[in-house]
Amino acid sequence: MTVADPGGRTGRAALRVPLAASRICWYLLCAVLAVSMLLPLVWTLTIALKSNADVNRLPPQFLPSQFHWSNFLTGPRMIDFYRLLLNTVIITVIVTVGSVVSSMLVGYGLSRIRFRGQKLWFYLFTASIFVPAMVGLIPMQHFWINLGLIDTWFPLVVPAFLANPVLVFLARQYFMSIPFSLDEAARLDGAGHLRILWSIMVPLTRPVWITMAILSFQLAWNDYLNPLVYLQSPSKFTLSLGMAAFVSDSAGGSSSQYNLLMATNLLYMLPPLLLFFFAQRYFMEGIGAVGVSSK
Amino acid sequence: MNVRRVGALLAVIASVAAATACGSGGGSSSSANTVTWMSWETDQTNQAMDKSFQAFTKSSGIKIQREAAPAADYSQKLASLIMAKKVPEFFWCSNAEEQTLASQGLLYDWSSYAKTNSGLDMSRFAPGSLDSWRRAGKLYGIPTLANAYGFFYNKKLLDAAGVPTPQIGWTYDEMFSDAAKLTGKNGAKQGIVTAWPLLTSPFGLAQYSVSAGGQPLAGTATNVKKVTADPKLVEAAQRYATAIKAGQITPADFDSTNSPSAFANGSIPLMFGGQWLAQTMVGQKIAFDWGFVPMPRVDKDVQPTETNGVCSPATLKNPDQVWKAVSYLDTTGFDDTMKTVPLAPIAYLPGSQGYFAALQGEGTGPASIATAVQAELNAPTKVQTGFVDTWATKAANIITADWNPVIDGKGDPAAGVDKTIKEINSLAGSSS
Repeated sequence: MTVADPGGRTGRAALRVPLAASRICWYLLCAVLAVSMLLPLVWTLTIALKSNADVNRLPPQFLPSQFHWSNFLTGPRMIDFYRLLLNTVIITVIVTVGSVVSSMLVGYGLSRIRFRGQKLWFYLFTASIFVPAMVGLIPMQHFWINLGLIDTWFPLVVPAFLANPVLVFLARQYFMSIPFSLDEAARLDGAGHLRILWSIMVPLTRPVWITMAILSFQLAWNDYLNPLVYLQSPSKFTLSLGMAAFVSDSAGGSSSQYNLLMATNLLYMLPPLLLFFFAQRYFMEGIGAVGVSSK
Repeated sequence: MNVRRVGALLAVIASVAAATACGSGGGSSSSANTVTWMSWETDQTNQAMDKSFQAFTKSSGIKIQREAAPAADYSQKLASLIMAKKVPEFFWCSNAEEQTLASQGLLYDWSSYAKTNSGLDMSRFAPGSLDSWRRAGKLYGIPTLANAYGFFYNKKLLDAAGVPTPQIGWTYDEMFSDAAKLTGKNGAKQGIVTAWPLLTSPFGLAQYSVSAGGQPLAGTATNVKKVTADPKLVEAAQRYATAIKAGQITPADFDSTNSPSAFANGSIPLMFGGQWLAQTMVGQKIAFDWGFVPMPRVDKDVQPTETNGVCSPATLKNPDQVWKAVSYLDTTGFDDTMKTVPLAPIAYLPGSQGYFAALQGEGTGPASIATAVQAELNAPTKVQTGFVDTWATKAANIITADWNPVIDGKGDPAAGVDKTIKEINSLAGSSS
């Protein structure tokens, strides 16, 4: 005689995946994702350690036949790495500070100060995100040429102080999630907008401005087109421009030195990688919190 | 931290920016006795050239100063320098760049210096190499490095398939026959693999056509108003379409990125490419016997001509000094440099000895490149390897869209050639 299962528990139990199997699947998925993320980095490292002949071998060999540690010295020496590193750090720090400060100011204005056309300005800023940077390249170049500021760092750093639309969007959205009662209370105590921004908003919005700083740092660090177009003296070059010395368009690319490129590239990518590593908690918080405001 | 401290910090940053950005003058600010130049070469080649120019400075008293430019994205760099009116006094330019810039009145005309024959003897340039640098009778660039095209062969794979080693003067009949015999043998998927698209392009087929007694695509190298397809070119298209369809030659739109490495690793019996690939072969220290032969012929010896060169801005203030520097470059500078980095021969033939000597010393494979390249440069009849007029980029799009499919055996070759020629003529006509 068959005993009926009144609650249908047998059927549900059959559908339930055992805990061990679920965990194995989860770890397998994580392992696949981790490998897919790390493989390009490891591949970069192995190329950096190869001779140029090994780089061109077919089928490609994952490990070098001989380890050329000297590539980590030869590559940087070829492009005067430390000089370019200093230039890049100076430009990136100025751009990061300029972008964050100006975008925070604009974001504050668009979210906390009521004025006619407030939303329209916000939409204009947001829409400008979708205008490709290439569109403005030639007019901007004419602008800087006419000002006589070609081959200086001004074209690279000045635009950063005029607010970045993406960062303005992030800041404005984050500001909108903070109760207006805080502003009103501060105003009753006699605080002006700058005081409210500095004493109330900045501490409360730490995740978003750290996120903005990381984004801005990365953009400035990796910027290649603007230094290529605006800089002419090697003493003012940035690292992104220096890295291009290893890759040649001529002779079908056959004179490119990929091993030296990869060795130098590993050093080039270290600062943004470290920055992200140490600030990733704030970065996640900042990105996650932007969606809180729906206004 | 208060507002005042933040303000002070920003002020410090701004002053650092101003100080560093205005620290030293840039651009091509040359003094009266200094000539500035710029190249797209790699650091190694540039340094070899700097060394050679030091000897020139000692003998002439003219200081030569190189302006930095990344080896990649050179065209973008050049465009921005031209716009800023900071272009160096002579700079590397492709033939197409020269024609485009000359059409805009941006380049210096060297005709009067060329006529004097001082510094450079114009009759010593490789036949045909100067033609494409002229525009309306004026000479806007001086050819420097030349490219030569031909076939790299793997003797071991040829022997295994019973195919004789190609020699200078080999024929198209032999080439197509070899491709058929080598296909599918000893692990080779195709008999001929391309490492450069010239072979199956209209210009590659024009070399066949002229060699067979037909006409070139156009009567002149520059200012082309009309192109024609000789019946011999259509014949070549039919032969290529058949061979490509049979899998004996790689298609016209083949991605050739890995071809040099595959050849160096011994899996390609015959590879079409340029002489510069010798660098890859030498670097790989190939274990098997290999060599290089020029383009085959039908009847006459006809070879492609392709050169890069140097140009100067129309606003040049010290042409005498620049002419001396450019003359030194073609006669001695490249000769010295190519001894160290044997990339390409020099269109100015007496300046190529260093290149040939360097290759001769690298073994039989590179030595065969020296022999083949010498034969190509001296070939009396030449065909161009591409359009250089201002509409050249658009013509390349037409070739990709209309020409490549029919050469790959998709459609009637005669009709495809006809359509391509008509569209290019329409383009050339509307651009004139």
